[in-house]
Amino acid sequence: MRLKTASPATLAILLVILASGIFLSSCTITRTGNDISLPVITVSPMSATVQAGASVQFTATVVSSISTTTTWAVNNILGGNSVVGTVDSTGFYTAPASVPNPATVTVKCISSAETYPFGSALVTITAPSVSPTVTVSPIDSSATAGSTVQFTANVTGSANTAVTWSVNGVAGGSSTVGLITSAGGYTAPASVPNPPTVVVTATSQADTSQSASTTLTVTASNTAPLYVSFGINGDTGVSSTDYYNGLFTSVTVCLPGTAQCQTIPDILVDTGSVGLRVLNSALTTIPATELTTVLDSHQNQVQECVQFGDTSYAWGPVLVADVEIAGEKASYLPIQVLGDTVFTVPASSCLSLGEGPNLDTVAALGANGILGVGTYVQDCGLDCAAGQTFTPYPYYVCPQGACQTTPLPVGQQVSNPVALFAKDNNGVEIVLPSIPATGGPSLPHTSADGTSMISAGTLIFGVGTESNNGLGSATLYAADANGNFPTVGYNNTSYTSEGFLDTGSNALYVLDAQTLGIQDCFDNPFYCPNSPLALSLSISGANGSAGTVTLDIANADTLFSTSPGFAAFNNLGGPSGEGLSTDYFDLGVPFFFGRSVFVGIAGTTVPNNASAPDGYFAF
Amino acid sequence: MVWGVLLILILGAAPAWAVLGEPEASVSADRQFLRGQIRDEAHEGYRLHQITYSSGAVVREYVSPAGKVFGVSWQGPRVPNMQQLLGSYFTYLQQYAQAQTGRHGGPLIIQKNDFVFSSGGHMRSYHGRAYLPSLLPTNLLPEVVQ
Repeated sequence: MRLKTASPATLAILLVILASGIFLSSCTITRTGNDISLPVITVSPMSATVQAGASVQFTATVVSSISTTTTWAVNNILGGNSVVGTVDSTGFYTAPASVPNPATVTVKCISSAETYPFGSALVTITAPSVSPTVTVSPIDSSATAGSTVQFTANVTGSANTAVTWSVNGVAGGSSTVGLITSAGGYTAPASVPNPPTVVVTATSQADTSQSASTTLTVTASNTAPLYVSFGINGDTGVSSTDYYNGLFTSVTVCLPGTAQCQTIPDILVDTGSVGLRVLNSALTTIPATELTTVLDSHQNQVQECVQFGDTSYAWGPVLVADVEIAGEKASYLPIQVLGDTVFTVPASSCLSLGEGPNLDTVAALGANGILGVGTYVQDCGLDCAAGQTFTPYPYYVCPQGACQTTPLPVGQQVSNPVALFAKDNNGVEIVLPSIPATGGPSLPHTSADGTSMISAGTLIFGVGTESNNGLGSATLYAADANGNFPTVGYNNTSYTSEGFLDTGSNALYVLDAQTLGIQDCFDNPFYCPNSPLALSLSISGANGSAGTVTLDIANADTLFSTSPGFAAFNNLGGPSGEGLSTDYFDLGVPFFFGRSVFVGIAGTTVPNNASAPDGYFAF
Repeated sequence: MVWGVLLILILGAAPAWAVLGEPEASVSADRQFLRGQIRDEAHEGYRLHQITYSSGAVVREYVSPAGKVFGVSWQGPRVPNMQQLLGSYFTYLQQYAQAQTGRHGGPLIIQKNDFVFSSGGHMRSYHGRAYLPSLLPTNLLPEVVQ
């Protein structure tokens, strides 16, 4: 008999007639006596339905009187292929990864005998019932209002990897919770939604029962997160050298006028200085050599010798960059890059300004840079502009390698980035959470079981410019011409020398131990009172305002030994000078815990019509 | 505590930059730093040279009856040139300032038997003083160096 097709009925008859010669094999041929008719091949099962990627074992039955060999094929393709599926020499068929078109294929066992008789089975391939797995990234992110975030979905277990994006269950999102494109491009709403955290979901189009979600917290465009930690150098484990109460944020530096940017973390936030200073070593993808130089009238590149109160200093060029923090941007901002690549040796007169550490390395600075957001617009001002006399100028030029001081117009001086923002440019608000008297590990801090113990602080730009930065009930203390409180009183004595709020200082540097009736520590530069001191200070403003604050100074040795590995202390204090003539109040980061403190920039419009031409503090 | 104040106002060019620990006559002639008003005062037990700059910066130099500069102080928008002000005691500052750790952004304090120094403040408002206990007139307290 010659069969070109094998219908079930025909095969059934054959099985009966040729029962004596039946051999079951995986297409193995056996001679059946002297009958020279062509082999008859049947394939079992005659039909099958399998899921994409799944397999089925076929068996061929050959009835033959002659010796023959066979091969397997799918849709007449020997061995099959990835589109229609594959079959091996034993009849083991594996469906393709995705459903072919048409979805039914023919699996044949073909004899090598004359006319190539064969048996066949039909296989229908179906989509897998196994659910595709969807994941999304980034997970649990945050974005400032109006900014964009690119989400990515990864779909496995289905050939169809397309997803549908939704925000808070609304496909494509909305203007209230943010819009998302079919490609996962999310645009945060223009204002912070209520609640501020939204859920972004990617749903598999192959199986809409499968999806993945993540949260995104929308923050105000004028709000940047703050961190309190040991800084970039970490916990040294040695209390006398650890950097306690370091207050940090991230800053994005861009080539001016371009979108080529680098975000730099671990930038010290400093209300006691003015201008952005970034370590040359931290500028990797945006090298300092590509930033715009500031030149004097003789085309000499301007350098700066920046100095700090503790006689530390840093040397490096003044360069122009676009600076972005949160959703704010200062375009063409003069900044200083610490650690020069051109004039690597500071001018000798810079070295002479003081012999504290040169802060142009991470090791010395404990940060990647300093974000100075104090009460001034420039770091020097009119004193350094041409025609003024001053001793000495901080700005230098080095023609033929011989460095000399130079005046510099105020517009080219290193400037407060906030003052150059397009909006929210009249000051900052610094909000740090309360922490226990025994200190905090760091901010933000999440405990081992995942519950957040201490939230992060925030740096909010602008004062009274947005719904989130109003003065509220805070008292405004206008600064005097030197950026200080006119007087700070303690224990019925009014001190007029200098008092200020300084997030760049890591302790309450106040008076001296004898005046306070406490003790200095022996092995570190802080106070070690026998019992915590409640320090009541009466503060006055140049606008006539007055108020009292109470601060605590605890025993630093006790703090460090009972809370090892903790970076944040709201009661760390130390002397501000030596001997009884010390009458300064450098109120550092401990002052800011549990408070919202405003720092207003000189010359800006002051809320509540207060008079504060030289800037102000408010809390 | 001004006693029989002898007040001399000199504009500009008069040499007046004395150096810590050295004779009053060892006045620096670096005119780059002498663009301010110089005022000499006689106080009970010491003489004071006070240089006031147009920026408002003030440098004070305290001279003992023996004619030695025993103390200096400063206040203003910049830290003065310490090498000029401290003279040979600049090396003390170099030595001790590098050794201070743990304090960040706060004032620098050096308190040694032969050299006392403090410096602090914030950008555009700095202050500090230095004195030599060994040269302090016996009838004076360190607090006169303000």
